[in-house]
Amino acid sequence: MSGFVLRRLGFAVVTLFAVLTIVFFIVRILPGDPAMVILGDQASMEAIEQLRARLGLDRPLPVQYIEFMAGVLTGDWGVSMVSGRPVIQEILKVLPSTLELTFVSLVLGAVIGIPLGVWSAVKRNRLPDYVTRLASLLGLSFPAFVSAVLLLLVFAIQLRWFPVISSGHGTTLGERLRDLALPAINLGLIMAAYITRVSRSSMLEVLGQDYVRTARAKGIEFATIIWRHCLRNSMIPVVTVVGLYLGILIGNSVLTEIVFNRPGLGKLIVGALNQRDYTMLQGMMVIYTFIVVAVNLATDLTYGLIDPRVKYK
Amino acid sequence: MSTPVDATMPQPAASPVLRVAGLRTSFRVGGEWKTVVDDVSFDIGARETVAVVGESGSGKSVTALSIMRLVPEANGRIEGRIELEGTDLLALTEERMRDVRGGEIGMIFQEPMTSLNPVLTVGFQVSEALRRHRGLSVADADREALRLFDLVRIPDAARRFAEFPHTFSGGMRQRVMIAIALACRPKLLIADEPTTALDVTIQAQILELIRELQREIGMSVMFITHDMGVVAEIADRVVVMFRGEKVEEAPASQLFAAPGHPYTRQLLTAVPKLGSLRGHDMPRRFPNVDLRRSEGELGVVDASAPEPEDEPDRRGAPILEVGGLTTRFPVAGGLFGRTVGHVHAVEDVSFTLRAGETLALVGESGCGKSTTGRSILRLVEPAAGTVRFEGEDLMSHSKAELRAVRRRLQMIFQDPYGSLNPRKTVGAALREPIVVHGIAEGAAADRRVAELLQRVGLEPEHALRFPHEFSGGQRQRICIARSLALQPSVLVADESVSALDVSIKAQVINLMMELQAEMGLAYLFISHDIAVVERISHRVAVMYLGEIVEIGPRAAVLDNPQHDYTQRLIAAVPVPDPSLRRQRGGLMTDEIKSPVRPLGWAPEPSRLVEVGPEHFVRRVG
Amino acid sequence: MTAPAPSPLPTEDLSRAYWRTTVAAAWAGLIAAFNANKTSWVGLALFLAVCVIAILAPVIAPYDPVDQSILYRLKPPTAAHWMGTDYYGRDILSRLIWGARISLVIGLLAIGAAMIIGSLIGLIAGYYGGRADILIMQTMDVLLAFPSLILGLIVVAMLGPSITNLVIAIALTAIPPFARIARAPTMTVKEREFVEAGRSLGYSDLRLMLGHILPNILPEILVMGSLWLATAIRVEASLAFIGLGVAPPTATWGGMIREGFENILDSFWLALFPSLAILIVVFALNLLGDGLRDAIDPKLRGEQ
Repeated sequence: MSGFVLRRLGFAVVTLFAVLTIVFFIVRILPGDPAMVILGDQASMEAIEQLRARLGLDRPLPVQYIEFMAGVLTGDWGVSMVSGRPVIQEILKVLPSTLELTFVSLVLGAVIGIPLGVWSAVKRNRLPDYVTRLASLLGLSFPAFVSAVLLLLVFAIQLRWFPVISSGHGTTLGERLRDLALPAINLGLIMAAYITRVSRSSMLEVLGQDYVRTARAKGIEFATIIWRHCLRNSMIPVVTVVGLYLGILIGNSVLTEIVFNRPGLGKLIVGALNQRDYTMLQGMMVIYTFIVVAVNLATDLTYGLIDPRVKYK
Repeated sequence: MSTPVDATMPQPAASPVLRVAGLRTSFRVGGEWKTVVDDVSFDIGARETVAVVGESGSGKSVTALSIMRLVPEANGRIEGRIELEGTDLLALTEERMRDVRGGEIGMIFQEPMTSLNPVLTVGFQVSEALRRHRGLSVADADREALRLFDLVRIPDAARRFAEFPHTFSGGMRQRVMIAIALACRPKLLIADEPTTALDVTIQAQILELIRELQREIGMSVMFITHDMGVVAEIADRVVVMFRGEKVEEAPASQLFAAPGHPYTRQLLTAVPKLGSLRGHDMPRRFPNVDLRRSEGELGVVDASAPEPEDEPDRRGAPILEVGGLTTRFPVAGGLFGRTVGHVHAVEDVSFTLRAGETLALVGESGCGKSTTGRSILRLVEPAAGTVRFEGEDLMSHSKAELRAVRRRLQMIFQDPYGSLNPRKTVGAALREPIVVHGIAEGAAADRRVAELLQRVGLEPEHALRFPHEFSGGQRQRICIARSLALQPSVLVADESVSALDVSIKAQVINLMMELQAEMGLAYLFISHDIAVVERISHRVAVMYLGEIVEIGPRAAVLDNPQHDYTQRLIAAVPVPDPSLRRQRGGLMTDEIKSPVRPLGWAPEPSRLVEVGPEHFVRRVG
Repeated sequence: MTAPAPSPLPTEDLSRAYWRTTVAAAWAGLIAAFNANKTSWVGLALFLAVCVIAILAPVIAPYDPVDQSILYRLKPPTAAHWMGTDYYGRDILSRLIWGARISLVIGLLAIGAAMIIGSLIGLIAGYYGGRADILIMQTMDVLLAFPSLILGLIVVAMLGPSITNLVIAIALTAIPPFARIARAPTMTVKEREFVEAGRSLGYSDLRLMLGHILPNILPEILVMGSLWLATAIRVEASLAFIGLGVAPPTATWGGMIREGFENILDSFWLALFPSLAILIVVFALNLLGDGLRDAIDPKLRGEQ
């Protein structure tokens, strides 16, 4: 088992380096000189040269690469062009907020989605199945910002149950929950739609397997068959897919944070884009890379926990 | 349809354990009800083994599922009466039926590889049945389950109890299934083709096991199979099914000696009996085979036609010479996926094939016979050895040269359902090799396609149809036609008839022998079915763990085997004659060894010793 | 046993007959796939309706979408303006109709390109296996791991918002999924015996990949195409919402919602109608693709 864990860990580290390398190149292959882009084309040559030196762009590429990698690993991610504060500090300030939102949405999505998918599979081709399938299809057709806007319209503006603009700095649990509620519901319902579908198709596949026929021939009750024989097997693809969908979730969190005006990575990256904050942009990409690799690793390890066949690979 | 033949026999004195009366099972397919089992009736007495025999589409499996009421309720319908010791099973509530399933009727299925839940330990799956039906506590159930493991002769039971199914071989998994089915000492065991997916030596062990357990527990057995040899080995009475109906029922000895119904007669003449060609050197075709018959049809059996004669010896000069062929596959493992060992699939194999000759490669799973065929064609790359075909050295050929050679050296594969591109019409598939190799074009090519179709017993119009519109036997004939398109001189037939029904097998074998006589084709016939091999082969080579252990003329090897693996193999083949039913002593639990070896492993030195005219046996030293 | 009289042999070239039969069978298969799940017809109908509207934009839009009017700003739906007007007094209905063009064009071009490029990559990786496969798929996995919105966001931010760049950005995010969706069935089909038979018959790799394997994996690719078209339209709208869509005053649905968001408190209709429009199109495509996908899976298993 430990061989498996080590292998996955090693793989994650390699992927991390690979993606960071790509990040490095993407940011430097911007068409147009970044310094010129930042200062505008009216700037003088010396100003541009100065800025380039500050950004370390005048040094040869391999040196830049080593500096970049070293910086990432030691926590020196540069300094924001706009605020002057260290990039990593800005990111770490808002990271908990995004993580909180993502985590709660994921839990909400799983808690709703998995049982709904199982139920839909068991009642295949009957009314509950049709309704669930249609509803889940509708759910994932909403672009995250559309549903966010609609939620805002109905629950915050018309009904006034939730604040329109959340401060994100709530001190009491109640305040934090109120701030979290609408954004989490927004993302959570979208996640639930995806998870329902996967849970359903996975359970249907498991129900058709030979070992379920064996269990029925043993005279086991249907509920026990679902719970003990089917669930673990059907969760295997669900876990894999949840890891994949986390990417979608993070993407959608950007939109949700904007609509609900929540502090988080989303607002940070949009701000960086609009203000051409070059170092901040680079730092954003690095943090996203870390998150994605960590999620993939977690998915792989969970997979190994559920499926005994995996340990022997 | 013709009327069923019920042999007059004394009814069992005691009331039957199972009575099936007028069973009719239908499925709704696309809005219409289709009857799959039509008015079937039979009894199974106490301590009796009844074999239910039929080919694909006969409805035998559905009969078993109907008895267990495992037919899906949404689009399945069961009518009639099914009585288990007097209780009508069809009238029970689902709850009561669940008590019957596993508690009073045990069932084992065909595919041991997928019938066990991969995420639960085998011990758990057995004790679950015990807890469910006998209300035992977890500890008691586990203890009893362990005892059952010993009963079904799973070696090292205590350690293997907590392991997962994927660490068990097919034969072992089937033993676990038997343990589950017998956990609650049922009155009736339903076995649905339990040994079809197993190697013949493993099959012999499992059959022996079932027989012994039946004696110990005193239960009845309903054994579903298509293999008449297995029927002869174990059945007291036989029920023959065809197209959903019962066409004959008789005690086993009577059925084999004097079959009543035309279908039974057809079935029995198509079944090869190992030993029937004893004393004959040459191959011989199957009698009474209608080339144009399809599955599900009752062909014309001409009882007055004479028994075919031995084929004349038309063999020519050696055309394929294989020397020291070795193929290995790397096994990855360890931390970084390094190679930690090799699968020694083919190890130092040598033989010669003459023009117009059939050499059979026989063996069980993992012996390397399929890989040998593929290595010769270089579909997999051998590690060492020489292959001389029509005087050319295939091993040194480039890809382009190989392509030219491949015209003359063709392969027919096992799976009739996968061998043809489902998206191409049959005509397009047959035309393609002709056009690709520049043999003909346009109308001339299409004429050749039509000729080929006719040669294998199909019609030119069939060219415009898709593979899924044909049956298994027809598809295999189309594949043969495709290989013939390039006018080969050697055909490698890799388990080409293994997936076909018994009577269709005979048809395809006869076709192959006809083509051999007409065109002087040589066959490398790869198969695990020794009885079929006996009829078609001039010479036989037996393989085990990648090596040839015995090779020689067919009569010599099969009638007078010298190597003890060959002897074991032949002894395990079930013979379709109840009077020859063997009493096997001593249950074996030998697994078939796997040819996976660590790095740097070298085989014990051995060589082939001549023990008769052209008859060689591998001896160590 | 007498054999029946042999049928006459063909006298002309049948290759066109084979082609016709194959096309007819494919068409029948398509109709059957649609019929298997009736909702896919609904999805198709809705989507085609939107396409027709977009094509006929110059004809049916009541106003010029960029026509500003100081008098009629922020008016709610009336007889003159069925969906009201926006901050600059432009007719929302007309902007909606013209916006459909942008969304559809970007989506179709992006997914079309991604489908072709991605499928070829997946086909090659799946067919050759080995080191080429590992290398290609690692790269694809890495790209896949990135949230598509973030990736698209970065690409557009770097290249600048224009239709071409949006197409490129969205296509880039869609190529890895297509590579993945083409690779898995390629590896399965490659193991099937008709491919091995083809090799033993001396067919070239190219012939096997394009002539034999590709037709067998086409259904999965096409279904994926319709589902990803839905995603592409969603992503384009999202990018427009963030401010990276096609530059104003061109009407895009995402951009309209963005403007509507700024006025959401009192003029909610600005955001409402484009939201509904996006929802309808995306939902229609999902219905279509999903219904087809359901039809394809069991059919593939049934063919065996």
